[in-house]
Formats: sequence, structure tokens, C-alpha cells
Amino acid sequence: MKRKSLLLMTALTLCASMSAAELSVISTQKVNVADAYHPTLSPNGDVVLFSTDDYKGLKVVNIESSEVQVLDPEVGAGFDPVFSADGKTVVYRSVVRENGLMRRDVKRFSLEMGAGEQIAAPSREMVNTRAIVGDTYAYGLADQQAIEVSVDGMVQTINPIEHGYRYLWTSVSPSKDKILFNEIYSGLYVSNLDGTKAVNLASRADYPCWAGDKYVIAVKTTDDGYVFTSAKIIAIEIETGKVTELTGDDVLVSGVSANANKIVYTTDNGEMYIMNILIAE
Amino acid sequence: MKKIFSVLCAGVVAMSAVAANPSDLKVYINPGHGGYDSDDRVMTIHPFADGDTATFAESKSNLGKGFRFRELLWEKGYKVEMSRVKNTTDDDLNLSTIVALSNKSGADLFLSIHSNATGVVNRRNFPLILFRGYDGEAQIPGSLEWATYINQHLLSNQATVWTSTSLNVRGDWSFQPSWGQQGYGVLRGQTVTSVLSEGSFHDYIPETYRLLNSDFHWIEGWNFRKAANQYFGIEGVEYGAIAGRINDERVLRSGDFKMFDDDLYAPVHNVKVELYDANGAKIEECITDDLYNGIYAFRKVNPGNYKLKFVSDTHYGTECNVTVVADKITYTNVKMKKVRNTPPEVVSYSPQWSEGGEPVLCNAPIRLQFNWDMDAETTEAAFSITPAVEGTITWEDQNYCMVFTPNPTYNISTEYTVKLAATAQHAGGTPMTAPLEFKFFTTDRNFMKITGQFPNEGDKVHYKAANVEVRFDKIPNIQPILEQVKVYDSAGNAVQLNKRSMKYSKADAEYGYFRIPFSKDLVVGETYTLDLSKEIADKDGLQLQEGVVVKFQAVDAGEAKTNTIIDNMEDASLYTLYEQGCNSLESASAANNTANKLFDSKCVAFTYAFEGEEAGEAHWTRAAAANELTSADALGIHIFGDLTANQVYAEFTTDSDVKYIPLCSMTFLGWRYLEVSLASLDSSKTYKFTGLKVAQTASNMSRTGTFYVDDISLIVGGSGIPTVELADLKVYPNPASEYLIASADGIIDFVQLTALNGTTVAVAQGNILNVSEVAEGTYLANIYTAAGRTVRKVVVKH
Repeated sequence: MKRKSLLLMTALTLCASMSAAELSVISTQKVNVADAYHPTLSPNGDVVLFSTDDYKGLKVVNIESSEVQVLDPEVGAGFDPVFSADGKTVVYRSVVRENGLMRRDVKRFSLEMGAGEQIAAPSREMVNTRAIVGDTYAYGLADQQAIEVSVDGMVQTINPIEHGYRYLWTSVSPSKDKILFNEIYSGLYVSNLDGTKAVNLASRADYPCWAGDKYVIAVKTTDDGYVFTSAKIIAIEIETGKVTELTGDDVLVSGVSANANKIVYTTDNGEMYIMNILIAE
Repeated sequence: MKKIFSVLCAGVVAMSAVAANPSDLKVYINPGHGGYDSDDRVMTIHPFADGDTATFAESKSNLGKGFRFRELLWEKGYKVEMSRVKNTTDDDLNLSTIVALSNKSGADLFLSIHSNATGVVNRRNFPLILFRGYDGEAQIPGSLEWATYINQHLLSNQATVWTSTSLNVRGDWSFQPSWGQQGYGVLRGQTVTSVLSEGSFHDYIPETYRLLNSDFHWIEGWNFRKAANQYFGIEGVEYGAIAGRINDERVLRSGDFKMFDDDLYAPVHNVKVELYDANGAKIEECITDDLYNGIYAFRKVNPGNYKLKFVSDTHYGTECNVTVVADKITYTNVKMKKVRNTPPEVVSYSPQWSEGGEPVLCNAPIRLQFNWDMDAETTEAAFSITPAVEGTITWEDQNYCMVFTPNPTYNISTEYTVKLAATAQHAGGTPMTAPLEFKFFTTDRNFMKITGQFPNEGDKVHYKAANVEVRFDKIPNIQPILEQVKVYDSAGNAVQLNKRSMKYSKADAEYGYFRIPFSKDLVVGETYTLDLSKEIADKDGLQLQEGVVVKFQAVDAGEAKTNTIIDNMEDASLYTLYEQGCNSLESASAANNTANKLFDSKCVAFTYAFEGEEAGEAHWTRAAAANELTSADALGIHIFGDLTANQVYAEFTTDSDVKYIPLCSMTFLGWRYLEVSLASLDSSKTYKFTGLKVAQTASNMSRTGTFYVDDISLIVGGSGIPTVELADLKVYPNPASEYLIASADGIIDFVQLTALNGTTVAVAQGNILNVSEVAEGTYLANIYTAAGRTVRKVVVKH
């Protein structure tokens, strides 16, 4: 993995923003943390949850101060944590192996109180942590073969793609009228909440998330069957399908998250960056 | 974490103290690659053509093994997810997607199924199991154990041929250190206990064929399940299995690839394998495929004693007893004897020759093609050739073809009789019904001959832009020449030749040659060794009878002289072709040349082409040079030889007399400085230098040439080269008819043959003088060395 300069990336992203009329990258800054992977940006964009490359432990970093707090040191704690809507609470799972079996508990950590608690004992269930923190979410069910969509407590189970096999990276749009999901063999889609009018945005895109209601941010990766050969952040304008690369060949992105006019991403060698973006309405 | 590490260091132990229920367990299977894409790994092997998806593709093989593993897990009640169940481009998921699926799946174990490839000729076959982390330090708990169990069970497969049975469990960070801690993408970011299995080497070609077989996939799937059961402490199944490989007992597998152990023998196709119980009742049968693997399996057999019968249209049937135990594959590899149901006979042979027909090359192999694979021992004993010839016998086409190669060659112009007695047997032991006998007659040439060479033994070679040139009686096979021509300095270091600037005969050339310049100028004063391998051969493969090793010395032929310049050779127009003095001449010219000049800015290039291979003469005259020369003087001349062996003469004229004094025989290539005694001039007269003449030496390489001349000078009193007596000098044979040879301890510069009246009749650089064209009589041989001239009386007699 090549190291890159912040200056170079900033220049590239600014340049990219010029070709995407509505989404502009205002600035890019490095967050002073090390060994940072799998970022999750808080709803108001002030802190980022992150973990190691192999999801050991869960930490949070304040973007302004770079102050890091360890929420949980356990194995698997960094996998798929979720914020409450107000950003004050984090719910996550950690992994326990017993006689070769994987069990996962559920924990809740109050960022205000600085304290956590186990709210469900280790079990074989893959508990839907999104349903714990709120009533609006999209979540893969039963080996990811269907999506449970909940908006303000109105729950429905959908299978939006005919012959769809597996759904990954599902989420509800900020305005709560669309869902975003990845069907693993056919690509990235946006659809109505009931799964109708599914529009394919890309054949392959990882870690998709919303940037406002009009843009989707994702990572376009390539590999040779053994190792990643490239990974770039792309912004997809939903209405036109136009794709803009926000990072270049000099960086291998390992994870991305977006909220509140910010995009946070981590790199192959564990660095974390924040892009400040402007989306013209 | 430290506790886990310490357990790993102490050795892998069973994970489970309390057996789990398989229905509680979940395994995620990732058949690696997918979709015959650019990241797939395809081996195009016989009988498949490029682009045929029926050949080996790792994506397809991995999927086959994944299916078999899934079926076996389902049978035990495991829950299973697979990242793909088809083999299209769309199924070739991003590695990050596969990891995300695995993490979301709630699986307890993850296995990415692959096969390995070396990508080099020196191939082997053994498993490699990778986990995330450094060797012995798995990042994901349990993955070292999971990897070790897989490795152990894969090695239990006896239907394959392993070249190593050592455990080969590696951390991907150690195995691919250049990737840092990125590691294998499918292991990175896994929360599930994960490994990547390179089950065997798919570019070890016998294994490539096995990996086309579904039963072989099943064996690997069985061993994966055994590993999963061991990991979780799950009991095995109550039934067993039988599997194995069928090879011919002696017919070798054909193909130019690495093979080991039983893989050396041809797999047997379409064998019906029948399974009988202890009561003699047939329970099941299966048939081996025709894809060069010989694999068979009975996948579900109750424990007990059984008989296996192997039935084939091409091989004699065989049978064996086997005992099946629960949860184990009983491997039964067998070798079958091929049916050979008619006597052997020679279906064709070579060389074919009939009385009066074209003679056969003296190195032509004798090939006997049989209708059956032959027993080498009885067939070789039955073979004879008269007159007797040394040679070697080899076998081709799985012993269907015997080849006798003479070593080194047959005699020239000789009739040979080849016999194969009827005692020759095929591999089944049946002899021939009748002997074979045929004859052939050989050509008049059985070795490649060197007709000219530079440098020769003792040659002094101008250091600058020097070349090695060798001429032959036939066009040489150029391709291996650079391996067959070596030059070493006195310390034994190889001296580089410039292969890119090598010149050699065209296909229609009159004679064969190659000329290779040295990559750098030689070092003046250094002694070198030229080594021409005996392996140098013509297009027919006829080699030199012996290799050639000569020593030569680098000199500066342009070393400054204090002589009086007669002609600085800056003006070629002084030299005019004297047509009356020419003979059998097709064309000739004298022109200035700057590229090869030795002094000042130019030299003169004398170019000639004779009409035939003998008796040609080209004669250039010039206005008499001002300098006067007498028999007391010597002539200094710088001449660039053309390796034609043609003779160059200088012309000296008085008002009433013309003399031609031999300067050299051009048995050399490049510049050389000569000092030639003028003692044979009439001592009562004063001469002037008036021209040069080249006279053809009969050969096929003397027809055309170009020699260059630079500074010609006068050495006043130079003929007074001191006469010395060399005690060790030998001049032989005497009488001489073809060659006169001089030998002494030191280097002999040249040999000059003069009549008793002082007239020079022949001269040659080096120590060998061709006297085949010299009239019979008594002469004086003047042997010139650094010490001076030594004279011997010799007789030429033809």
C-alpha cells in the first residue's frame, strides 16, 4: 500500500468535486488516530466509531480534538456498531467463542455517561441492533435473503430484487422514503421503502451509505481473487446515476461512512480522514 | 489473548471438550474465484483447446469441492452458506463483499477453497493452509486449529501423490510479507474463524487431471468435513468409503511435465470397479473417466469386508479385498496390466533405403515402430547392426518406438544391415513371429569439417574490433553456437562475445561460417584460449569429430614503426587493376576505406571475386614508388586478412625484371603487421614497389574476399634478419606433400619456403605451410621466430 500525502488527496478530491456539480468537497483533513478501520460517523458528525482491521475492540474519536476513548476492548466489538438517532448511545455486539461456537452478546455504551453495559447475554442469535436504538432502519434477515424495513415503527419485510440472493449494507434514506441496499450478485440499488422501483446504481460497490437524499457514497474495490488491488470512494448521484471518484489510485480505502455533510474514511494502512462536503439543493 | 497464544505454541489441541450439536453450527464456504474471469486460473490441458471451459479452471474446481463439502456438512446437519453456487462473472464477488457476508452470516467457521499454483516448471504437490496473521500467531481465534485440522486431513488423501507430507500451515502475513498486514483479502476483516485452503497444486499436471474428477472433489470435501467435525468435537459418520487411483503397471504416462511416484504411470480409463460384499453379492459399481486421472470412489459403504473387482476392455482384470471402517476412506490404489493379444511386429522403420537410392546420413537414427509397447530388455537384446556401431538405444511413445542413435556416426559410404531377431517381446511377454532385416548405405560424409578458422593456435590477433570466425564444409546450426564457442583469458575468465553482431551463412551460402566479434577490445599482451565445442554441428546434426582448443595472443598491429614509408595507402587511385595479370576474375576493385583504417584517415580495400574455386588471380599495379629496394632490405606491410587462405604478393620492378614476393597466406582475419625479407630479389639490381597481387588457393571459400592494406614501409637492411639455430625446432614431414609443419617451444611467426636460388615459392603465417601446389624439388624452409630465422633443407615430393 502506497502512502500518500494529505495535500495530494485534497487536490484530487477538490478536482473531483468540480465535475460533480451538486456535491463539492470543501476540505479534507487527517484525524490524528492510528490503526483505524471500519469507521461509523455519528449522526451529527462530531465523533467516529472505529476498530482494528480485524474488529478487535471499539473506540470513538472526537474529530475536532482527536481524543480517543476505548468503549470496549473485546474481540468483534468493532463489527457493525450503531448510533442512536441523537448520537449519544452506541449499541454493538462482541464475540465469545465457546467450544468452537461463536456467540455474540449485545452491549450499550452511553457516550455522555462514559459507561457501558451488557444488555443481552451471549447467544447464537444475530440480534438486530438497529431495532434497539430506533424505529427506523433497514436490516437483512434470515441469511440476508430479505430486508426488514422499519420507518417510524412501521415494519415490512421485502425482497426487492426478483431472484435476489443476498442483501448487504441496507439503510433508510435521511428523508425516510427510500432504502439503499446491495444485492451481492447484481449490485447497488435504491428503491422505495416497499422495494418497488429499484434502480441499479452500480454493479459493485461496498460499504454504501447516504450523503443527504440525493447522493450515495460507496467504495469501489477491485481484487485479483487474493488481494485488493484498488479501492476508491465514489459518489453516485441517484437521479442521474453519475459517478464521481472522490479518491484516486494513490489511496486504498478500507471503509467509509457519511453523515451531516461529512464523509469519514479509513485507509489500508489505518489512517483516518474527514472530507467536508457541500451538497447543493 | 496471551493464554490463547501459549496454547497454540504448545501444540494444537482439540477445540471442544463438550461436543456440539451440528444443527447448532454453521459453516460459511467460499469457493474461490469465479466466472472464468481474468482472476481465474485456467490450465489448458489435453484434450482441451484454449477457451474450452471443460478444461481445468480453478473457479470451477473450487465450486465442485465446495458443493461436495456442503453436501457432506448437510448430511451431518450443519447449517451452511456459500458465497456462490454458480460460476459466472456475476458470482465472482468482491473480497470485501465475501467478508461482509461471512460476518453477517453468524457462521462459526469460514473456509475459502482454492488450489495452488507455482507457475514454474519445477512443480510439486502438497497442501498449503493459510490463516490471518504471522506464522503460529493467528489473529482470528481458532483459525490456527481449523487450518491445522484441514491440513492433517488433506494429507490423508492417498488417491493423490504428495511430494511432501509435512504440515504446511502458514500465517498469511508471514507467507506474503510484501503485502504487510493486508494479507489475503478474504481473511481480512473476518470475525469468523477463517482459513484459506490451497488444497493441492493445480499446475502439477497429474493433479490438474484429478481436479477434473468429481470423486476427487468429494475426497477433499470429506476431509474438510473431518476437519470441521474435529474442530467442533462432532462424532464422525457411521459409514466408511473406498477410493483410489488406477494406473497401468508399466506403461508410462506421456507428457512433458513433472511427475512423481505412481504419477509416472498412465492412468487407466473407463475401468469398471465393482464392489462385492462378503457374501459375493455385487453392491455397487462405478467407472473411471477418460480424463487421465484413474480416480474412483464408493462414497458410502457400511463397515465390513469387501472385494473390489476391476474390469477393463484394455487391461486384464484384477481384484483385491478391502476392509471398510466407519468414518474413514479406505484407499485402494491398483495397477493393471495391459492386454496385448497379438504378437508384436514392426509396423514401420527408418531409415528406408533401396539399392541405388539416396545414401543415408551418417548420423541417421534407426527407428523401429511397433504395434505394441515392447519389453525393452528382450527387444534391445534382439537388435543388431552390422558392421558393428557404437550407439545408444532409447524408447519413445511409451515403448512403442525403439530408437538406435549411432555414437558418434556410422562409417562413410558403408552398407549396414539391421536385424531384429524374433526373440523381441512385447510388454505382455509374447515374442515376434518373424525377424526383421533391412539395409541402408551411408553418405560420404560423417563429420562436420572446419575449413578455416581464426584465431588459430599461436596467432597474434590485433586487439581492436577482433572477431572469432570459423568456416565449415556445411552450414552450421547457428542457434546453439554461442553455447559452443567460448573464449577465456589467461585467468580462466570467460570473455564476452557480442552475439547481437554475429554474422553467419545464409541458407544458400557456398560454405558455412559464423563470425562473432568480441564485446570489448582485447587486452594487448594477454593470452587467450578459444574453445570450440565438439557439439558444433551442421543442419543435419553431424558434429565436429573433435573439439578445438587454441591459444592466441592479443597484439597491437598498429604499433608505431620507424620505417621509411613507401605508401601510406591514403590514395587508392594509385592502384589500377592490371587485367592482363588477372585470371578467372569476375570483378575487383581498390577503394579507400575509413572504417577499418589503421593509420591516418584511410586504408585501401582490395575487393575481388573470382569466377570459380581455383586458379583465380587479381593484380593491381601502381606507378613505381620512389623508394629503391634491394635484396638486403625488407618490406613492412600492414594487412587486414580475409580468412580465404588466398596468397598475397608484392610486386617489385626494375627496368628489366619483375619479381613477386609472397607476403602472406590470408589464413587470418583482421590486421597484422608483416616484415617480409626481400632477400630473394636479384642482389645485383635495385627495385621499386609497383603493386599487389592476390592468388586464389583452391577452396569453396576463396572465391570472394576483401583485404585491406595500410602503411607499406621500407626496412633498409631488413633482410638481415639474424640467422639463429633453434635446438628444439622440428620441421616435418620431410619429404612433405600436403603440409610442412614447424614446431618449437616459442611462437613461430611464419614459414617461408624458398628455392635454392633464393626465390620465395610459398609463405604462411603461423607454423603450417601448404606445399600441395609447390613443384617437387629441394627447398629451404625459413622458420621465423622472435629470435630470428632458422633454415632447414626440405624436400617436396607428391
